[in-house]
Amino acid sequence: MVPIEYSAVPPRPPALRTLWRFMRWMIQTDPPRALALLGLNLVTGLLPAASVWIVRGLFDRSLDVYEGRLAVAGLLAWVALWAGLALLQGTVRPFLTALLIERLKQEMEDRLLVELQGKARRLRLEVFERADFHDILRRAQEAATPGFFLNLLGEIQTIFSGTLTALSVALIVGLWNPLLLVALVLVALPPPLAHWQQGRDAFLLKRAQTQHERLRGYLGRILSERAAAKEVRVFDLGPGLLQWWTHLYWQVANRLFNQQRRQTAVDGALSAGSLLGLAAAIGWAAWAVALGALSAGQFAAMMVALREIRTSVDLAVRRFGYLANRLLNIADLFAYLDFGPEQEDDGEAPGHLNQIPIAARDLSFTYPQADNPALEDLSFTIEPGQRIALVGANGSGKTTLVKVLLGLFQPTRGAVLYGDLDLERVSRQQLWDQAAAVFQDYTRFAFTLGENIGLGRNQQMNDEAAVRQAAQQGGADVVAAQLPQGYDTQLTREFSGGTELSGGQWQRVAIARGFMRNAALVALDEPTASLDPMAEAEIFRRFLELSGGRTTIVVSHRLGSARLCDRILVLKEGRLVEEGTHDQLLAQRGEYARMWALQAQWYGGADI
Amino acid sequence: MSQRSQEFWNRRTQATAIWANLRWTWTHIWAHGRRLGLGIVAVQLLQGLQPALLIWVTQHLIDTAIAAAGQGPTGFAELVPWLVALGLVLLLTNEVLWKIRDTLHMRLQQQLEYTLGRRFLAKASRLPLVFFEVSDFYDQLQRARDPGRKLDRFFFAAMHAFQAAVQALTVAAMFAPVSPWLSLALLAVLVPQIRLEIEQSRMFMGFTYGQTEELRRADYVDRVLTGRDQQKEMRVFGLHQMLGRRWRDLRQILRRQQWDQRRQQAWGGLPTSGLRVGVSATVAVVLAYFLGDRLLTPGRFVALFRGVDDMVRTGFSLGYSARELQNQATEIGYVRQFLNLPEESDAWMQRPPQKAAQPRDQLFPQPLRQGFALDQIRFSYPAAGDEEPRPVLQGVSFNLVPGERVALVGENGAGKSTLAKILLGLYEPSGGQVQVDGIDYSRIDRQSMAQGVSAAFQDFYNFELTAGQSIGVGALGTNRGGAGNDADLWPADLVPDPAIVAEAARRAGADEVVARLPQGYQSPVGHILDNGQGLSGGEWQRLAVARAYTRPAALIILDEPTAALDPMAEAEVYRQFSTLLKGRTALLISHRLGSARMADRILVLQEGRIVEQGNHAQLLKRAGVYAGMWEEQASWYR
Repeated sequence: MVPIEYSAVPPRPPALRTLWRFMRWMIQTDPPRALALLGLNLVTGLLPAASVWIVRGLFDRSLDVYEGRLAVAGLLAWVALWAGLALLQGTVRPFLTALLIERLKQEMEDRLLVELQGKARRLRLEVFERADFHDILRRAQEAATPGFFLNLLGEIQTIFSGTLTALSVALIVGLWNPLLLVALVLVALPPPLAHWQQGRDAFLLKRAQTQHERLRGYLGRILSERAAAKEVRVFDLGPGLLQWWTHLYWQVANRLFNQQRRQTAVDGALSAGSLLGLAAAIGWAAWAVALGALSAGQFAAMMVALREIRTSVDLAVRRFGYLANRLLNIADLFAYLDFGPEQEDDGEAPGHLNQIPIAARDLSFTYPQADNPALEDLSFTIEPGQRIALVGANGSGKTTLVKVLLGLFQPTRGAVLYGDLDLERVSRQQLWDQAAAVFQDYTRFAFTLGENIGLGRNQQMNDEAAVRQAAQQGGADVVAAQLPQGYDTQLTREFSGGTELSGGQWQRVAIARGFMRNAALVALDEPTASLDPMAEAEIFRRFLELSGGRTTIVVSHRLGSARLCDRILVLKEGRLVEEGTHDQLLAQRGEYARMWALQAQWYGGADI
Repeated sequence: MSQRSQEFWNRRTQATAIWANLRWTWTHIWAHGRRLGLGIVAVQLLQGLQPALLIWVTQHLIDTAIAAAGQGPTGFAELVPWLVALGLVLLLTNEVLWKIRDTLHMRLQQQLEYTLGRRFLAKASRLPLVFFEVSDFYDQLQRARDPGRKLDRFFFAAMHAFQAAVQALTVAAMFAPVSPWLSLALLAVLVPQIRLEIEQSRMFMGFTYGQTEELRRADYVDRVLTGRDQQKEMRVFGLHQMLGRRWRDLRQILRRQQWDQRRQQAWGGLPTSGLRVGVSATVAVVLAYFLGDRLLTPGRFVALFRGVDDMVRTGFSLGYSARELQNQATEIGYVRQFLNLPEESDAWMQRPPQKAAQPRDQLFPQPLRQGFALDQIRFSYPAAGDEEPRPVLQGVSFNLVPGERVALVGENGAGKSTLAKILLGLYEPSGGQVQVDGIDYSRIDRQSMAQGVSAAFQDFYNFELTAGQSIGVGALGTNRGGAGNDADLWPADLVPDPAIVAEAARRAGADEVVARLPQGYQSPVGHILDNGQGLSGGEWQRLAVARAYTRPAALIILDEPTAALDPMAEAEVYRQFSTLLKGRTALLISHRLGSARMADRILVLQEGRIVEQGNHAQLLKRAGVYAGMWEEQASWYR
């Protein structure tokens, strides 16, 4: 067996490569709109140059009018031309871009979310157990927040058309006076370059502070959220946690502020220098006017042109910093989408799960980045239709074993056999179609009660009779009876009007979800932990009644229930230490017998 | 009242609200960052004046240039003062000022976020527990979240409006020398423009901030599809396809909504921007005729021509900030309302204050002499909306003697956890009273109360810190002078005493959990800190029980402390519990009756009443509720 290769977190690629990949991705997502948007910006980026040309004409004519060489009507033609241009620039362009961007943004967001969802589906489940996985995912999701693409598109657009504007206007000015052009470029360039670097610095500082920020946010939630309210009061956590919160707050705030202050000093100096350079350039143009080398109209137009360049450069400059920042987010996003390894979907059909034995052969499993194996050299066979109990201390590997047997984790050594077939060659899809599992940390879906149960077999989710039957089998019919709208009650407080269930109630719902499936292989991981004794007994009895003919794996701490199974496997620190029926194990006087004695003593004779 | 005057009154109340909140905001800024606040006002003023100054300089520069054309160096000398003036005015542009303003802004924002955030959290931690248990109450807290940001946005909207107003007035004034009517006309045109802009931005806000139900549902399904904890069920139950479809359907609706809104907005924007061009063109034509009559110089013509554009742009700013002021005034209202909420339980239990003016000036008696006395305790959760208040406890009376170990048993929903919360002083009963050594609970200082009692709850909270802190969070600061391993994250004076933590961990069997972690007590658990390790339910539960043991409390309550534990750990927890320090009173809530057996006394709770009490043998003899439950459970082990 080939050991699984876990991706290392790759170093971040250069910004330009990320930009290139992103642009390709954007154009692929919706080629007509993406190209239309770029085309539109290409055209509109040139409009300011036209406006400079019109303004020059306008001013030259205004001088003529003032000196009586031209009737006012001659000037009005230029005013009309100017108004037409303004209409194009200020009305038509925003109108078209707003619509184009909205659609493009929607397409991009949808594609990204679908890709992220697909990634979560395809990634091997072990990858989710990596200690650093949360950080990787969190970073990727930053780029998936609403508004991210809208802002990004706005930035790309502004930079693209701003650059075009600056270039085309500069070209006109250059035609009048080439030296002026050189001066302008020298004056305009430093701020954007500084901003690029500053955007990156800001991002990196922020990244370095994320743990502080996360912890601070978490402390704030402890103090203000429902879930921790009891502990906050009983342990009087308010003053201590507030002090801690304050400490973290100013740690981060001061660092960010100091960075900002340094940047302002650099930036202010650069911008001031650049603006004074601009004034000097105008002075030079004035000198040319005084010498008669430049007309007054040209001079006036030049002032407009220079402002136009400054404005577009100014706008582009600010966006540059943001873009640098965002590209780093996008790089993280792509890194996540490239992350592996993924689960292959193909494989062979395993046959009927309750008619074939399931066996482990020298099975070992080690979690990614862990030093010690969670399971070591397990070998056993589960006969068709057998009811197996897994018992052992917390952390002995019971839940892990269930996940490996179900094909959720791939063994690091050894194999799981379904009949004669190695689990690695079994189609997961077809395996899971026949299996059901109720996990210890089952999901509490913010759907209705009926849907929460029906999800167990989503083809039948709307089949009310099937849902009711599963509910009754799992003991969730009692829960439905207690709720105002029965099976249609919206659960959790995620949405307004939702009802929260108690731990015991949720557990019944989760078990009912398992019953919904009518599967050939069933795994129950500590199904009755938060139920009261009556409910526990009732559910267990019913479960075993209904498990006839299915292969069943039960993880339980309550040995009283384990004894009802056909065979008991005892795990200790990842190894299989004992197996057999209840009576056999008691006779062995080993680990199981010891646990049994511990639990049974409470229920023994009159005295302890 | 006619519709028109109704509208007038609505506006007036809105304006009053904005004004009141503005005063509150400014008072707050004055107290916590007055220099920053004044600095920002000054910068905004300069920015507001800049366009008018630029018009003035441009006008003179061009007129002087025309006069100087072809005049050589002497002509140029005339231009120099205006060039210098131009340089100065340019320095006032956004580019330089926005950075300065951003820096001031950042600091002010930090100040506000800190001072208000702290007030918000302190308030939240002082409200009675029942506030959190009733959704209608709790919503008031949710609405007031992020108070600093709200205040900041409000202040900035006000500053934005201020700058735009200064700009509008000064730019309009530049037209007055040509004709005062022109100035007035330009200002008058602002009115319809602002109204249009308000309309537009209202649409925009609804679009951006209006968290529609579909949006939240789509987001939720997306979180389920991509979340870590859900993946195993997603796979085994084959939910990806079905939930993916559900997500796409919601997303379709959403897309249509957004698209419709955006399209409306785009079309709705046409009149505003058309108006802008129309006004500019009209003014330009008027200016052209003035020029023909030599009523203004070409320089002024050029400068004012640009000024028209500045003028119409202020319309946008004014409209936007007016709308933002309205919105944020509502938000600030929530914050102010939350900060003024009453902190006494009576106010939340929907009953008149019973022990009014009785100060909480008593200390929790340590050590205990007589113990706890509960007399006819009743409790119902406050009714929310149109629901009937459901009584949870209906007259419960019993005593707890110092050093006594009592087990509380009963079915799910019998009221066990509620009773525990009353004993802990977390809920004030709706009727009856709780006393400790003859002192009524309502008279005991809260902090002192917290020293007297301790608990591990059934639905305990997972403190995702380091393992040591997760246990020692209730004993922060007991290790005076000691330091953590990262002073950046852990302030030195908040470190719990390692000896207390280790002892508590040992009692709860949490030491085994910690021994398995790579860095022992320093290992991050949960996913808040970098490289944190996930723990199983049983492991978290052991940390929670250990946490209860970190405090030298006279009463310890363990609510279902072993639900997720293995038999060995369970036995150990009960053994430790029964050997608690002498003089400490202990209450154990458990479904596992075997554990109740070692208690000195067992209370059986059914539907909010104590139906049986006595020791194990006595209760078995009674052959009542307890005996039935016992029989059921014991049968599993025979």
